[in-house]
Amino acid sequence: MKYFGNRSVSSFMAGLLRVSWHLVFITALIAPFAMGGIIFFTTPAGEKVVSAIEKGEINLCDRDHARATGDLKKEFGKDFTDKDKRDWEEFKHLPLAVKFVMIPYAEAVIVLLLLIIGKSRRLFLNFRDNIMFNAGNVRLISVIGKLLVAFSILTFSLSSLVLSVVLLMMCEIIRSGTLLQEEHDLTV
Amino acid sequence: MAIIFRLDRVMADRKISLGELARRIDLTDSNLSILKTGKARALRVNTLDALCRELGCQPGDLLEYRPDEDGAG
Repeated sequence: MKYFGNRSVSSFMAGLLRVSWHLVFITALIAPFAMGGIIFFTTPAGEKVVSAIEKGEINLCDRDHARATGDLKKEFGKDFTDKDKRDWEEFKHLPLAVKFVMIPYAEAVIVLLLLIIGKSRRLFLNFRDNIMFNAGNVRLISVIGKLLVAFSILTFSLSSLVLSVVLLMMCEIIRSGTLLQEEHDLTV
Repeated sequence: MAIIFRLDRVMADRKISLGELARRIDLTDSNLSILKTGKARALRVNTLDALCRELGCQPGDLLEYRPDEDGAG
């Protein structure tokens, strides 16, 4: 298996991350509106709209009807468990301010994810171009590691934290490798 | 660094170009340029041997020790 150069694992990863970046970017654009919509249906004004739908004053297709009236079991089918229903009820009864704080929180997580994906893509592009031990890669890995620490704190994810520690250790290895490479390049 | 490469001076004395010398000692132009400009961190003994052979000089003609002003060596 080739790790460097064109048609290698690095090249494939760079392409995959490019697609992922665009998908996450679209999510970042849609998320505030989607979350705003969900929050609206849990407010008194939103509930009036829901009751109008339930009375048949507003006609919607089956799926939209289920979504708007909170018949989530019908919307999501078997995947909607009792726990999901409890979570939804809990969410509905949260103070409005708390619900709105979730929008910048979600955006912060998505922006962090975008940064991590973008930097990782640049790293894989460098690997594809056979650039392994250089100061730029050391900086990129270090930044990705630090961003992952922030991501793990925001999302309470232990696996991300472990990954960030591994990356920061790898950063030190690449830093030592860079010094050796420099020493090698300047030996005549 | 306290070691100074005097390759440029010896090359000028022998009237030999960088490309020509690089070709004769089987080194790339860029590597010889690193040596000539004093950017090299290390010098292989076989490179020094080839340089002395082609330039007809002693290692001491190519290298000079000048202590740093701060005394770090």
